Amino acid sequence: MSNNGFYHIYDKKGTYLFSVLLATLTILYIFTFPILQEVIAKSINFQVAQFSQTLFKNAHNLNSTQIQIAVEKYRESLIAAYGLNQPIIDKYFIQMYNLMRFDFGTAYFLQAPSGSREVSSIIAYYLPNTILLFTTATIVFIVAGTIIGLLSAKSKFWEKVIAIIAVIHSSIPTWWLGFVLIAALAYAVKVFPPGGMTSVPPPKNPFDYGISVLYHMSLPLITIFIVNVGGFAYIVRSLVTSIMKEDFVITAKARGLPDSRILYRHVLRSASPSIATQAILALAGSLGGSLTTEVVFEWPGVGLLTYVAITLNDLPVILGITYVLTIVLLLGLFLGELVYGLLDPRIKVGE
Amino acid sequence: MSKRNVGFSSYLRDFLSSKIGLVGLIILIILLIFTGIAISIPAKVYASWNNPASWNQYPEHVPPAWLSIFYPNKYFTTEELSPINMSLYSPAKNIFVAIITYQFNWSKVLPAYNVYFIVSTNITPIEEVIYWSKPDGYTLQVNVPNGVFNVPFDLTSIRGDILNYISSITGKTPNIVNSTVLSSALFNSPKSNFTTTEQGRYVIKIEIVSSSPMNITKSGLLLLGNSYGLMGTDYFGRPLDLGVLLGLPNALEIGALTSLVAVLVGIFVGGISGYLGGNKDSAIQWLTLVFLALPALPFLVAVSFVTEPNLEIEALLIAFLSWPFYAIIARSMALSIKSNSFVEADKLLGIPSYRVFFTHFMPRLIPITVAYMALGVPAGILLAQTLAFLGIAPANIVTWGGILDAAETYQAQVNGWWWWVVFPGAMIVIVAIPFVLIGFAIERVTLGER
Amino acid sequence: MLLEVRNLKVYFYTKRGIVKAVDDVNLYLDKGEIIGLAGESGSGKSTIGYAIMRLVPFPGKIEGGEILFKGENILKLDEETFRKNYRWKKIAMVFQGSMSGFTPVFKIRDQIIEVLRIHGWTGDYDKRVEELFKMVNMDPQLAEKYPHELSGGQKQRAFIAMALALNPEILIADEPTTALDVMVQEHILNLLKKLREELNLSIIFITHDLALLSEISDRDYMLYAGKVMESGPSEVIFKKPRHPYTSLLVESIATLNKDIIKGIPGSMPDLSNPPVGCRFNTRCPFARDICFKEEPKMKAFSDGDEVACWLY
Repeated sequence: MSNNGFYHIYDKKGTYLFSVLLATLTILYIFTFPILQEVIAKSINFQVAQFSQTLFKNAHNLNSTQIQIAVEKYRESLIAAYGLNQPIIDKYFIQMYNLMRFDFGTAYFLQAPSGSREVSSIIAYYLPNTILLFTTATIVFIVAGTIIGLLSAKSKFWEKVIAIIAVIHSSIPTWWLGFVLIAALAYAVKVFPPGGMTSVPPPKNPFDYGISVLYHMSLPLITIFIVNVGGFAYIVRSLVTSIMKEDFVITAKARGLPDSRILYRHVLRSASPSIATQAILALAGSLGGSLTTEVVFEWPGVGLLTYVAITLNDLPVILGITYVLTIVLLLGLFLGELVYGLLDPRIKVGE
Repeated sequence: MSKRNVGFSSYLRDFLSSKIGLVGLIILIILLIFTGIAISIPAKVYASWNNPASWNQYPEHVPPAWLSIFYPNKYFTTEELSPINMSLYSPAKNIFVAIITYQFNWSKVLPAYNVYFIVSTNITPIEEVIYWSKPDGYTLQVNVPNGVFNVPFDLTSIRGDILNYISSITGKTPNIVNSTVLSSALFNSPKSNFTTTEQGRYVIKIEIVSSSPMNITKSGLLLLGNSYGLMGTDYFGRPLDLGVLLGLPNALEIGALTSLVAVLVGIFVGGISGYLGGNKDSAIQWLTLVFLALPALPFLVAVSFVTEPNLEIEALLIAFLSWPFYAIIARSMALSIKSNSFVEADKLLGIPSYRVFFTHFMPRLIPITVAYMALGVPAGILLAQTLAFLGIAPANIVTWGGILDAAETYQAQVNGWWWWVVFPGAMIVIVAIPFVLIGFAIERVTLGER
Repeated sequence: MLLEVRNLKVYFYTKRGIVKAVDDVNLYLDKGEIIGLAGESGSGKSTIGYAIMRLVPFPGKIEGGEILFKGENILKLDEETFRKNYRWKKIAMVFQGSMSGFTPVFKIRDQIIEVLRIHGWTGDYDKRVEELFKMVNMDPQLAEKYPHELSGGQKQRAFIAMALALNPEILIADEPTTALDVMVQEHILNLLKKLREELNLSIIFITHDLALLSEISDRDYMLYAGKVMESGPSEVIFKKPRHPYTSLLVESIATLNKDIIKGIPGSMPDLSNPPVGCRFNTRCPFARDICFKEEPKMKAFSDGDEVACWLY
């Protein structure tokens, strides 16, 4: 694996995925076009209002007509910057360019705890919380699912278990299970907190804060785990059983290797490229499924943010989050392919 | 090796012999029967769901009635009483009096959830008084406000007098005033500060005074139960078993429509992609990736702002986002079919490409298409209900997600109204399960052919 | 006798019925011998090889008979004992040339060292790998590669090297040259002969290609439909075959028709429902009434040949 090879695929693959990103965002753009213009117009109004306020406060040596002119000039500059008065093609390029720079404009109503009204800051504040919960939960069910999937290759018992939990995976909505578990374990029997990320008010001591977060994370994590572990175990099981049918498994047994070693070294290692790809896809996709779960658990992440933005009709935020999630997903796809190539010696990374 | 008939009938036979498929099929048939029942319910019932006033005379947020099997005397259902006596007389000139008498025996350990008085006359009364006699002999007198003459009313409409009664016994007015509290005054003993229910004979007289001759057009006494139906009621008193039934047809319809479109489109695109190979394949793959990258939920939510979804459009939108999944699967299957089959031979024989595609190639994808059409339904149903839960659903239909949304809004989990959460959600699971089972069974049967 | 197989029965329990893939087979192997198991596909020859390794795949089961290695019935041992002391240590197997014998994700060298280590072999691993590769006439550098980086012939030779790692006494070669080209075939045959000479290795060579056996084996067993039709020293089998089946097979070599399946008209009977009498009766040009009624018993001749046929 030469350095060259790596950058080569990064370059080729990167361009490819970038083009996909562009196309995806274009579709989103087309579908939300009318709202987007509205969003931008309102954002401009807001910025202009702020600007004229500042002017009024600070520019003492200008009379009101001069201030008017300055404000109008500013408005025009913004309109040009956001491409509002341009024909559609130009609008597209300008506005897409802004999106690429993560400039989503300002929110209508929401604001970040830091006070910023910039959508990007708002998202940046809440995104880590989502990652904390969902990535952790995903890692847990990936590991458990892999183990269960492997076990089922050798054990009828685990095979049946997978059959059941796979059905669960395909039929239970996460948010409903969350709902039920909250009713049962947070209200009927007060084992877990019913929602939120920390106790209110949050503990000052970082250690206590961490414990509080972990405590609040447990019930949503359990919920996400229960719903998803079956699906992943089923995938792993399919991969493993198809590998078990391959010749080298018989020959491995022929050369006197114990069954456990065959399963946990040879089969697992052969399955690892596919499993790793699935794991990365699961991680990338986990954020997209955060909306309803966070709503039910009142977890302050981008999912809850989206929901609140929906109820408030705060469109810039909604659009911004959609774009961010799309990028995350594409990154995941890219990484997934990369990892597969790295783990499977039959594939040269430079291809 | 002997030749086996790889026809539809043999698939069907194998399928029916698998326990999983059979169970799934049975559940599906049961669901379809209920769907038939649901469809036959008149449209005005659907409309009435969204009109809280229709459910006034139902007890609000009460648990299912079958709890009375486990806790007899603690859970009971609504009783409607007819008068045991109605008398009309005129004690003096231009004064007419009607007395409606009810009598019942109360054996429960709890008061009625609420009491509805249905009194209608053909004229407007001057005065209406209720005399409520309890087993202990005490009779409470309540004056009916003229705002509710000739209209069914419950205890909250006459709370003034009842509250006075309560405070005269306990010394203070209760903080919370709801039907349960008011009812406790009517059914529980003052000796126990209205905590223990008086069992025995109750006599209720309604006296109506008017200045012109009157006829009583409607009379009834509703003692609301504290439980109702198979699945209890929601905050507005709407029976959840009805809501669940009303939600069944649209849930199935969206699921089926979404799955059908997504799977057909996906498998067709994937099949063509695998079949054609080369640059066309890469181009289609690229397009598939573009649609795969769209995050479903936020996209659907954002789009719902622009257009009002109706059922079919919503299904199409969901399908719009779901087909890439099936395209990927179909493509890899197509590639493996291509590698071990007579496609090349056919082409050499001079049969045009598109004919080979349709007559030899696509048919081999049929088993997996059918399997995924079954498996795709739960995904469609889940997504649709999730959208409904978020408040995005076609207007004027009842959805389980919508019911659960209301449950969340009214804090069902905090108030312990578990039936409001459990049953509608369980329906989502129950409807998804047969499709999952059938899909798995089909997959197993068709893969076994390899 | 190094290895003796007595009355071996291997049945497969399938949805269509019980397939009697190996039905009462007897054979033996002396030290330093190369014997051939020949027959069409489906005759049961590979299954015998798997049975000796106790690797009969599901849904097959060994239903009867004994396999005696130096007098001890290895079928009676429990799996763990067999795995530790016999499998690969005393008896090793080389698989069809087209099979991927190595795990694709590990290097050849690591897999050979793994075999050594698992079986408790002590010593210099790297040196041993080098030794083994030299034994199979391969450049030891190739051990550093992954399986997919080697050609078919190289992979097979590397696998033979791994098979020899623990100095087994018996090597079962199941169609080792199938799917390899003719030149490579020759090399592998010569290699096996060399190994027999240098290491006194006893080899069971399983194949459908009689021509190969004519080059390499001392004695042959002709299998058909799960039973031995004829067995004897190679010269007798090839120069004076007694059983009609053997004659037809030998003839088909002579006419340069290597594909025996097409060589003899008809096809193998359904093994879940074997015919009454001699298994070959539907395709035998010499079949008589009795061939459809009773199974012929093995008859021995002075030149070492044994035949089961009503002609004799």
